Amino acid sequence: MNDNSHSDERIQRLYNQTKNLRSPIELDDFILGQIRALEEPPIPAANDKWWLYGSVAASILLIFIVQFQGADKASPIRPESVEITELATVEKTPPSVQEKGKKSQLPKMFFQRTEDINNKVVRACNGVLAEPEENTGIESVLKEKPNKPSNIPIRPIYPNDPVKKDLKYDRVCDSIFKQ
Amino acid sequence: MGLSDEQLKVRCRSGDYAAFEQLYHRHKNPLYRFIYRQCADEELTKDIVQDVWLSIHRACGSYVPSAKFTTWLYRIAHNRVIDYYRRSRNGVPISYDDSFAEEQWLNMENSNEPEQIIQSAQETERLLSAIESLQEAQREVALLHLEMGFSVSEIANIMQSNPETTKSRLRYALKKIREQVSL
Repeated sequence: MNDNSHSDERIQRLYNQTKNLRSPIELDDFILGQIRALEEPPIPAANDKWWLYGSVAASILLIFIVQFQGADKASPIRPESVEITELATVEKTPPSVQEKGKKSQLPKMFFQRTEDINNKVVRACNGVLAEPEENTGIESVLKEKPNKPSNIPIRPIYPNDPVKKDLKYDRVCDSIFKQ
Repeated sequence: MGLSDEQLKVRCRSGDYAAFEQLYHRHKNPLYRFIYRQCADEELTKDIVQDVWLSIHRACGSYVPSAKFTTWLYRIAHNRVIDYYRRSRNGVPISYDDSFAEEQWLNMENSNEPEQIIQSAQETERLLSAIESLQEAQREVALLHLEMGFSVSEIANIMQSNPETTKSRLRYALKKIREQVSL
């Protein structure tokens, strides 16, 4: 038993002599580098991201602010609101002046009439165009009794005799279409 | 007097990198030898050592301060070596089986293989050759005993095996080494 324990001590001494085998330095550096990277969260990277995200967010915010400011400047110049205010002042004036005021407010590209086209009613009667002698309007014409003979002359537009063609109708047409 | 392993490990839990570095430098060489003398492959040893230390760092939270740090460290190393055996072509050696009977070890002890392996005249080289010629489980027990001075119960705790089996493994490992080194 004593021999065994003595031998075990000798084995231990021999083994201790083999302890010159060491962990390679490059392995130490590699392992400790990995542990250090795990131990210390990537704070610089997070800061970089913070500045990156911050700059992007600031630029987006700036774009929004510029857009909203441009929208605020453009909104007061609205043609509808100006027209409404002017029309309100015109309402107190006589109808003829109102009519002129309305026309004057219309752009030039619109059709401006110098006289009311409704006063010159051209009706179709039995397939013949005719012009009323009186300024009756459509309503008065519709109220006429059927038995009463019409005072509207019924004449052919294109009579058989081209020489007897009534120039009255051409004048009416000229006056209408020249307008 | 520096801090104990256990105190350093507790500091590691709170993110003290310097404490971890101190632990590493204290145990890097024994751990490296322990693994290298089982694998006999430098690159593989580096991989396993790296894996062990990363596991140690990862498992900081699960470390119980009442347990001995070296027991915990070498248990992780043992598990990594077993993983290495598991991945190898032959799988985990049968010598790690607790049911591996004492008689079988006696029969294997009579083979002439160790004598053929030992060629060096130097005693230390003979010792290393003798260790290398041991069965895997016996070799691990012998290394834990010789490298770190662990007791049988500590080795059984590390290897998670029966204390009686561990005692037998250590006894036969030392007997073989004695015979091979001619002590």
